[in-house]
Amino acid sequence: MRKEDSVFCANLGYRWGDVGPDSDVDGVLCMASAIDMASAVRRDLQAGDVSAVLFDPQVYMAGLPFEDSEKTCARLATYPWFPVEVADYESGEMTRRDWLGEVTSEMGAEWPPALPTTEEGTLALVRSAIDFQSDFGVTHVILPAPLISEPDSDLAEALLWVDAGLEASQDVKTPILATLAVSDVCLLRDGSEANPILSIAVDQLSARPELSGVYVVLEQSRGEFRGPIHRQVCRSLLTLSHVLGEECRLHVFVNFAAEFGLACLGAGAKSFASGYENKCRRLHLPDFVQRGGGGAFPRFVSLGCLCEYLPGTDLERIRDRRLLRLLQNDRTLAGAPLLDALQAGRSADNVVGWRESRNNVAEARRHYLQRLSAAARQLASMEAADRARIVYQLLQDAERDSAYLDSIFQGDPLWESGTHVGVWRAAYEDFLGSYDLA
Amino acid sequence: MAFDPPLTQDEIEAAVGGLRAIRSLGEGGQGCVWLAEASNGNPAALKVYARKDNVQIRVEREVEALGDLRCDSIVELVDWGRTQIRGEDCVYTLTGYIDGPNLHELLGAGQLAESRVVRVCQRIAQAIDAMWALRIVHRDVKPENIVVARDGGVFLIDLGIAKHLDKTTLTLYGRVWGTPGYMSPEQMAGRPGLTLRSDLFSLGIVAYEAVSGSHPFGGRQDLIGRVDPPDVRDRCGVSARVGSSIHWLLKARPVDRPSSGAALIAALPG
Repeated sequence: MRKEDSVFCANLGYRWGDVGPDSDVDGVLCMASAIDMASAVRRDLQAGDVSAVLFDPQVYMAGLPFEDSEKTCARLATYPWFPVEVADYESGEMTRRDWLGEVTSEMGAEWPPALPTTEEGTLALVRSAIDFQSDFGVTHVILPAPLISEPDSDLAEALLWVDAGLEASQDVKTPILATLAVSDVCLLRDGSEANPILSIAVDQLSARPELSGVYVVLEQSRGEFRGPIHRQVCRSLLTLSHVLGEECRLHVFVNFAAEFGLACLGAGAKSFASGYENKCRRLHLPDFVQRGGGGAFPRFVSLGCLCEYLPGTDLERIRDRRLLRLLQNDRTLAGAPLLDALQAGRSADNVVGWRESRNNVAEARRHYLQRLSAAARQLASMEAADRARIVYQLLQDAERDSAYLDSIFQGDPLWESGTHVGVWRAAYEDFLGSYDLA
Repeated sequence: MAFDPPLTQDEIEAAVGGLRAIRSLGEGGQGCVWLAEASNGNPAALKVYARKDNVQIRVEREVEALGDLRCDSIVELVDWGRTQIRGEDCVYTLTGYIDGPNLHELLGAGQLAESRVVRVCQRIAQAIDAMWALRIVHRDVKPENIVVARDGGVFLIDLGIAKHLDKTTLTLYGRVWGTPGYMSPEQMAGRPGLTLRSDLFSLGIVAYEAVSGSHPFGGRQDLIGRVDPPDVRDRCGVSARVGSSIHWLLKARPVDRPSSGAALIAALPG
C-alpha cells in the first residue's frame, strides 16, 4: 500500500504500546494532548509496519480550561507552538514526571495561551510545529490551526495559520495537510454547502494548490454520545469529504468522528482516525477533565449494528435470543475467541481478555482497531461509486439490525441503542441526494 | 464628488510633492484620478482619496499588499502616502500609467477576435494568480478595469482601489464590493472569504462579453448564479476550446471553476 492510500489510523493515547502490530492498523496518529514533548521525542512507536505516521499539534485545543484539565494543558504547553513559557526538560536533573509537575504548577496564569494574530507571530509557531513533525518522521505534515467555533466565522484566523504553514513548509517533501478544526456548533444549522463555514472552507482550501489534503477535526460540544449525533453535523463531514476529496481531489483525513469515519470514506475521504477510548474517538473538551473513579468496561464494537455491546451483559443475551448472526461480519482475530465461546454456549467471563471487568479493555481495543481497519481497507479497494453504495447499505442494514435488537431488549436495554445509526443513515441519505448519488 | 470644487493642478502638486500634475482623468464619489509625471519623468496615475468612512484604512491595507505584487499584467505601485488637502486627511497612490483604451471602450466598437480575447484571458489570469499568491482578491474585474496598452500589453488596473472611486460600485454592509453584472454569486451574496475563483468568474463574464458582444446574463446581476448562461457558441463563432473555457469560469459553484489562473491558461489554446 502506498503511503497516500492509508485509510484507517489509530489515535494514540499516552500509552503508545496500546497499539501494537496485532492491532493491524494502517497508520497511527500521535496527539500532542496525549503526551508531553520530552516523552514524545524519546518514545518509540510500537504499531509495527504502518504506512502512515502523523503527529497532530492540536493548536485547536488552546481553549482547553486549565482549572479542570491541568495535566493536558501542561502536556500541550511543552510544545513550542503553544506560546507559553515553560521550563526546559533537563534529563540529568529531574524525572519527566517532576518536570511536568513543575510545568503544571508554573503555567496556570499563562493558560489559555494568547494565539498570535499576525503573520509573523503565527509563522514562528507554525514553523516549530512543522520542524517537530519532520524530526518525528511523519509521513504527512499537519499544519496546525485554531478551532473555528463561531458560526459566522470568515475563517480568517484559521487561514492565517494555514498560509503561515504553507510558507514554512516550502521545503518539506512529505504531503501537507491543513487542519480544519470546526466545532459542531458551527454546523448544526446546515450541513450542506449552503453553510458559509463549509463553502468558505471548501473554496479557500481547494484554492491552495500546495496542499495535499485537509485534516478535518470535529469538536463535539456535547458529550451525550461517543461520536457525532446531529444530522447536520454528520452531513457536514460528508459534504467536506465529498467536495474536497472527490471533486477537488484532495486527501481528506477525518478525525474524531468515531465509526462515522467509515461513512466519510464512502463520501470521498481517504483516511480517518479513531480509537477505543473516548479521548481517542471524539474531541470533547470535558473528556479531559481530571476525574477519579473506576475504569471502563470492555465493549465489543459491531459494525453490523454500528453499536457497542458489553461482552457478557449484552452479547450473552443476544446469543440466547439466537441473534449472534447479526454480528457475524464483526469477527476479528481479537474478537473471534469471544464469538466462538458465546456460540458454544460459554460465558464471556471465561474468555481471556473479554471478562467484563473494569479496565480489561486490551482485547476490546484490539478488536475495535482490527474491525475498523478491515472495513476501511475493504472500502478503499472499491471504486468511488461502489464505495458510496456499500456504505449506504452498511448504514441501512445497521439501522435495521440495531433497531431490531433495541426492540427485542427494550425492557432491559443493551449498553447502546441504535438511535445514532438512524441519524447517520439519514445524514448519508441527505448527502447522496444532494449530489445525485442515490 | 469627493472634492467640490474639483482639485486644481496647484492643489495636487502642493499636496503630493515630487510630481507634476498634467490633467484630470476622472472624479468619483470618493476621490479623483490625475495623469501626472513622476519624479523620474515617467507618466503615472495619481489617485487621491478623500477622507470618508473607512476608505483610507482599506486603501492603506490594500496598498501595503500591492507593494509586494510583481506581475507584468498589473500596473506597478510607484508610491503612496498620506497628505492634507483643504484641511482634510487624504491618501494618495501613484501607479504606472498605461496609455491605451480600456476593454469597455474597445468593446464599444464591437466584439473582439477570439485570439485577442484569449490573450486578455491569459494576461488577466496571470494577474489574478499573482494577486492570489498574496491572498488578494480584486473583486472588481470588469471591462473598465482592463486596459489594453497601445503596445499590446494587457493590464488589470485599480486593484481593490477602483471600487473606492467608481460610482457604480455597491457597498452593502461594508462587505459587498463590486460592480453589478460582474460579481460572482458568492460575492453578491456577501460571503466573506472570497478566493481568486470569484475574480475568475468575473473574468468569465468579461470574456463572454468580449468574444460574443453580449453579456451572458443580459447584464442582470440577479440572474447570476441562478441560471446557466446561454452557450457562447450559439452567439458567436468561437472555438469549442475557448467556449468551454469561458463556461468553466462561469460555473455557479466556486469549486466547479478553475482553482487557479494557470489552470485556465492551460485550458486555453496556445
